[in-house]
Amino acid sequence: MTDKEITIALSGNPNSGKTTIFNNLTGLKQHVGNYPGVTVEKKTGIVDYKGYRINIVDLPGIYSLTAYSLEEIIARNFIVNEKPDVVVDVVDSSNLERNLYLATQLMELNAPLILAFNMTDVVKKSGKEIDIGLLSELFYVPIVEMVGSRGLGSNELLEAVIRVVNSKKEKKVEVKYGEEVENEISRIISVLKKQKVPTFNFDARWIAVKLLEQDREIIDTIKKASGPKYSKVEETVSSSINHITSILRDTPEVIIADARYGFIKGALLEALKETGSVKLDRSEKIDRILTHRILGIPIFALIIWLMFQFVFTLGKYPANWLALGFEKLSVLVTNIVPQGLIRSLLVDGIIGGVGGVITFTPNIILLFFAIAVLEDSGYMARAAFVMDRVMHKIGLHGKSFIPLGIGFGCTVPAYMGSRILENKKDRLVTMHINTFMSCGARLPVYILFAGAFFPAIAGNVIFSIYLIGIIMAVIMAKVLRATRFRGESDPFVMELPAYRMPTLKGILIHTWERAWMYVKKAGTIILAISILMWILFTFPMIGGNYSQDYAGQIEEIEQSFKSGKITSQEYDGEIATVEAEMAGERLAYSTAGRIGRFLEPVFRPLGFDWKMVVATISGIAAKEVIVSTIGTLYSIQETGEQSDSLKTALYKHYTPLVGYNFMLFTLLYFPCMAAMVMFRKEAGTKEMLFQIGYTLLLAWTMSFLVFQIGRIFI
Amino acid sequence: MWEIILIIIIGLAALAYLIIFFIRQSKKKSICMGCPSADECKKRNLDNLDKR
Repeated sequence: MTDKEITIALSGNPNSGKTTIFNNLTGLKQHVGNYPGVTVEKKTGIVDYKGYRINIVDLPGIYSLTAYSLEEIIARNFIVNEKPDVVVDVVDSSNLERNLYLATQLMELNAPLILAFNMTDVVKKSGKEIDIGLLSELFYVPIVEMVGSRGLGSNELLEAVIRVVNSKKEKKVEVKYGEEVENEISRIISVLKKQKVPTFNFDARWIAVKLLEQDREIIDTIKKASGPKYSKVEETVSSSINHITSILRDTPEVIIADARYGFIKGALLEALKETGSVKLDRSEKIDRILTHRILGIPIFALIIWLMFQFVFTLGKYPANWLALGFEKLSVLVTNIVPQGLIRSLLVDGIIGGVGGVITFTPNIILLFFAIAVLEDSGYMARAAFVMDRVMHKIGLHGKSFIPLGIGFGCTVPAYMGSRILENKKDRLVTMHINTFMSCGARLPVYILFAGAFFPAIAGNVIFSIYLIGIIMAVIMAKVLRATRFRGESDPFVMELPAYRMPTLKGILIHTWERAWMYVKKAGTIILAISILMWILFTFPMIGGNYSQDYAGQIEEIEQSFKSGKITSQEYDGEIATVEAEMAGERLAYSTAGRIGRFLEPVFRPLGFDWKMVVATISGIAAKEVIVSTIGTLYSIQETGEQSDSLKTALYKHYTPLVGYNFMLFTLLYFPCMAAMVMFRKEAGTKEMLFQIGYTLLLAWTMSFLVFQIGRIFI
Repeated sequence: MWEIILIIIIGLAALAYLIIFFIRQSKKKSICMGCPSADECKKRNLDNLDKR
């Protein structure tokens, strides 16, 4: 006796063995008819299994759900309108990449899906091995191995059908189509919602994708149902298509199909192991090398190293021109504005501070340009794939690489980007280690210090700092996973889009957006902080409270010069020394100087003097402020004819070991105040305080070890 | 003396700007630099696109 009825829709590519499986399941209990209104054959059959009456509908053989043919429309409408209890997609395992395209579309449709991997015997014979368990976990759907020609796997399939009917689907695969397309999808969804356009049984995201793909069936249905309201939707879709086409030089339809194949490729690279010799296309040959299990990481490191060489070597010329421009501006202001506090504020505070930060704009532009090229060409996805394995090994979710990658630009959106991790522990660990992904704001500090202390190998030194950041992130992730945030992470598919020649327009737009933010920040927040730092460095004024009689010393030097005891060169040098000592005392007497000197004992074991302490504290507001603070500080101190460039001044005052240690400390201690505000919003006050506390402790300990051990050798 | 007064005014303006900036930042739902995955980022991107 049968008490429950189940309806299965059997879908699949032509020649996937769908009919054989249908025949195996239903035997003689078949009925052949037509779909209503069309001449496409509709085959149905019944099977009784373990108390269930299972109705099986054999859908027409199709390659995709893109509504190019009548068969595709029929299959899609049946799944959406008739709502079968289970959709079984029969997949030819010997041609997985093409067959999984339909499966991916069914997953996007959020159908209750089972994948029947047919002809698995052929796969094994060809020297390939499919990790069914892993693939099933990655796709969030059950997969059954079958050999239809020998009638194998039918019972397992029916068991899976019953399991799916009796369980609730919790997770759904969502293929990401890249930033440009995703933005347009969101835009269309928002218009659909705003215009209250009926979406029937479809998900709004799915409709938006279909509209971008220019799916006639969906366009006509929605147009008919929404009437004049559709004109706004049409306008938006058309503008989105134009935007995508102009940036990516291909229609959204092609881009979306590429992304789906990228998703499949990513999954198969994880789950399909080839033991025999297989013929590869050019893209696969490149991937064989770039995503190689052993070579992948060194290649990634090499590319990043080359990127920093490019950023530093090419960037130093325009950066030097800008520095020269600011020096000339200082001279001009000095000549125009009479001596006094206002001149000092303009020259030492504003030009010294903001100019110091603006000088590094060319390097920032080059960095973001290089990142945009890597992203748009498709390499970043490969890097993510390579890092995904490392992520799993350190107990992190593969998706963590996405916010961590964003962290190289700015930590604030990186913290927000961590939301893509559904598991709270994955999210928190990712946020806690994101601080070690050196953000763009720290780059000016590295360029300044590496240029001052290691001019010949500055690119390598900066690369080493970034590398230490990544290593620290790996170590801390492992530590946090083993202590505060124990647990397993969920599996997921890292998408591998096809390689593309990046468009100049796309790269320039991405570079411009980020570089403009940097310049805007220098003209607003950095300007305000520079003014305040100058005030803190200037007041209270020392007046006559010098520890020595400098006026007397200057008089003595002048007497010696007049009497011919010293040459004019010696005279200049001695006067400059006395003036520098006076300026040093003035700074030490100021508010910032007092704070710095008060905290100096804590930082002395790291080799830092009070000036570095003040710069470090100022960096809490924004990391670029470290450069502007040092700029202001040395601009005040190095006044007069003997004034040096900032790099020379630093080289004169500190050893290379201290310089490197300062970069290390800047890398490791928590990011800026804005980032901490975001951290608190995303994870709460307790986690924010933990972040501040542990990064400070780590930065101090690491810098202590480097300085103390380094001192033995240097 | 006028120099001191001017510096006090400039200093207070800079301080006020920073305070307002950080207060607005803490209230803002999104500070986005191109992360398409976060919802708020999506919204912000949409706003930018609408301006286009």
